[in-house]
Amino acid sequence: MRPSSAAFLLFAAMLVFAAVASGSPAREPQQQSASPAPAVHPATTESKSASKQTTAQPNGNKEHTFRGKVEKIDGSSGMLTVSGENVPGWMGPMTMNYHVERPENVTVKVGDHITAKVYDGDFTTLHEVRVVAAEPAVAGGLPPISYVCTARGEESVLEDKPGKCPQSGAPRVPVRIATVYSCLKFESFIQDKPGICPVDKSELVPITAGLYFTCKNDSQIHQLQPGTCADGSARIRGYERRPHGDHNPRHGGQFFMDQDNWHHLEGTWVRPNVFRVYFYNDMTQPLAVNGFSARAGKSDASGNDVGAPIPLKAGRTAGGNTLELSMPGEALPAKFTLRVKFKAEDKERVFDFTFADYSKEPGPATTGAAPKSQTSGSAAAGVGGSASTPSQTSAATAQLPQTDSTPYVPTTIKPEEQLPTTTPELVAELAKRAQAVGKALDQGDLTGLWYPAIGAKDVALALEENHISELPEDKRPKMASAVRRLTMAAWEIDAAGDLGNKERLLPLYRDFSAAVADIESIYGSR
Amino acid sequence: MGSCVAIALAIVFFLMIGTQHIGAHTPVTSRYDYNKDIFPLFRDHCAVCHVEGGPAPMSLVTYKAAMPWAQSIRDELTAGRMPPWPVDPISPPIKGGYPISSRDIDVMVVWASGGTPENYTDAKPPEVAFNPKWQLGPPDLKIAMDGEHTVPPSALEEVSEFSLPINRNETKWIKAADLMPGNPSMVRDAVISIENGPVLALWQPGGDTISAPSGAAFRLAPGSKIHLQIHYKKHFDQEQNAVSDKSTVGLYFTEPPPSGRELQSFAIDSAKSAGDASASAPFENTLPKAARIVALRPMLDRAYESLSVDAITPSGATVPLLRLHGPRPQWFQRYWLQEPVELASGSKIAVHVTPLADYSDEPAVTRKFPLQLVVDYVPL
Repeated sequence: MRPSSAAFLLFAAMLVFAAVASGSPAREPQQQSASPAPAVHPATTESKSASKQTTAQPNGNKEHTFRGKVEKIDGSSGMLTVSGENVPGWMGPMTMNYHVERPENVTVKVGDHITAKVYDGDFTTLHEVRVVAAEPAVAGGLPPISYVCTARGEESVLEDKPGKCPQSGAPRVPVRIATVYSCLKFESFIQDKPGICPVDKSELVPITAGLYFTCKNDSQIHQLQPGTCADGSARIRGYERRPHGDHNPRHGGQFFMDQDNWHHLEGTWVRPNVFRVYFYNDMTQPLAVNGFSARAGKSDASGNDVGAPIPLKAGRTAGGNTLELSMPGEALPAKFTLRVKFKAEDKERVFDFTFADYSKEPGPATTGAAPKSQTSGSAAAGVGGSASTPSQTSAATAQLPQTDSTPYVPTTIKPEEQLPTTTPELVAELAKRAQAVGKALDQGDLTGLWYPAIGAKDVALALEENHISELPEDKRPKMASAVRRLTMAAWEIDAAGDLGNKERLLPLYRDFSAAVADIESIYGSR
Repeated sequence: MGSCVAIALAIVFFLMIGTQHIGAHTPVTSRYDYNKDIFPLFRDHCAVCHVEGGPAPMSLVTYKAAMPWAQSIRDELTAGRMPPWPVDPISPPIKGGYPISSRDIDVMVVWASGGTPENYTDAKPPEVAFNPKWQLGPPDLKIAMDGEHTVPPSALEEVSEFSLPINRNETKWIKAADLMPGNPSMVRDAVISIENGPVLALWQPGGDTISAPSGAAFRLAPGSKIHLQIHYKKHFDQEQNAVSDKSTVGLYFTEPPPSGRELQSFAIDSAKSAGDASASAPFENTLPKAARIVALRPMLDRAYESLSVDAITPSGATVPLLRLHGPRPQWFQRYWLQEPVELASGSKIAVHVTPLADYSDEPAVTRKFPLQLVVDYVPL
């Protein structure tokens, strides 16, 4: 269809008006007045280049490359509604209506992916529109886009749309968060699968990172969508580290996060009997111990001090991020309660450590070693929002899959665990997992407690759902009560374990154990 | 179902200063999505309060509204503060409430912990609207406050007392009382009583209105007035505003009980002072006369891990009356027994409470009362 002459004139008038209103430079009115709207051009080819004519850079304003998908074509106004990607320095990801320069040369249809030139000072006009090949989709879709704040203190902000941060007023930053794998000590190497670090041959460790797309020949490209680079090649994946995305201990110790969400620390027990604590920020970067003070004391099984705590001294490690204490004669397993102040006026933060053996610096992977899993249905490391630096980014070289656009189902979701099916087997499995919780607590593996605790909860839920009918009616309320208490205690153990405070964990473990004992008693006395 | 409004400030409290061990931006690990799995749970268990325009300051029945509260949702659920119905499954049956299964709690926590995915399918949640109504149908008598009561910008919360004349020249028997807030966002809870007489209802948003069992009723003498005590508490986003309310009390009448005896109550006080962390000793009292126990009202000075109420008969037999797990002082509840219990004269009522092991995450209690159990009974 072609528009009527009146529509031509109306469209031309609108373009002129828009040019004036938007402050964009005057374009060629003669050409515009004779131009049909892009909306009325039937798409005759899958991809047709627009005009090859070069438009002078309007008023010398800075040029940007715009990418987006045509959502709607308004035949009457000749405007395109385009879902645009983020154009740094020009406009964030946004769907809006645009005028088109020289529409007579543009043939588009709804669903087309386009590129265009845009200029500072004009946010309504697309220049040199080109239809490009449909963006390569990623198998299984992409992680959803979230909008976060980068300023410290605003890490908890997470929105599903752009906007301003509540305190700083800064624009929220779009991110896609994914679980990927990195070298432990060579943090720029990141890939999307487990494997071996090519630098030191250590096993890659899981981290959560921001996923973006870039171009091999233009690292300035930083987009949240796959797409096509200026040279026609497909964009490649890149990853950038994020706050709290990597809680893997760097020195074979036990890694905790402070309740302020900023300070992180790793306790190690190294020969000859030195209790050394490494401090990090939320990016797991070494944090100088200036102004920090800490005391440590031997502790008993309940985390209570045995003797007076002794101050730690600054260590001699290269990063200046350690405090340490020599404790000659201490036998294994070694248990310590560490009390830390990050400022003189702070309250002491308490962390409990138990070392069954001396800490060992991570080395080359052994053949066939299974990758660790940092995430589960529960205890995935939290990720705050803060700007990452270029040195923390990594572009993967793997080619993008070129397949479907089915709803996103994250690869981090584990398939539902296959549990035993009979009551005796489930009761035995519950006992096994509960024992593992107790063992982890005894060994001071506070950050590892969540795994058997959540596992025990899953077994208890399966027992209740599938086997409660095997119980006499008068025992069913007791079973329901015990499963409720176990479920809540398991989740609270999951949360408290990350804080490394044994004192807080012990009552939760007591509730957990009591609930397990009740379930065992119920089934034992059927 | 128990009420929901306290979650509002509790959630805000925890969001601001509560546990912060988990950042908001977790990778998606939840196999449950909002539209298909979580929305029905929020709708069925939370939407009576957590809906746009409802008593709670945040809705949970749209993804956009619920998702930012994921951390607090997890904290409230795993601590047992929400849903506010602490009746333990081992308790003798209690009327009302919408117990939620452990599996449903688990599903919500997995979602809240696992990246809060919105949709893996084409499921589209329907809109849910706030729909306040008289739970037992139109009351036999509605008594509105004289005029609007305003809580000024300087106050976050306030307890106000109102005397509502009835203008009746005959004796009436009341089986239930309910409240229709004029401004649901500020009415946190209310006590509806006959002036200088018995408590007719402990009202909370989202709570069930329960009728007294057959043969039990409150006597409303001619010329009596209704005493209405309302605890106003503003939403966090209304703190700097003046907000007003004009609520209406609804009364439901019934036939005079065959015995002619009205519902009565007696209180059992704990020896400990309000908020005393040390005491957990049982406290008890002897029934003044043979009675049929119909309801129990624990008044809490602080949160407890558990509360149990038993009757000990003169022969020494123990009759369980109530078992609560994780009761909170923010919620006044009257627990109507599904099966009233008849006790001989000389029977004792014993209360045992177990303090929480850790109070560090508990929201502050703004209204402190001494620990007490009130027993509602009909003399035999």
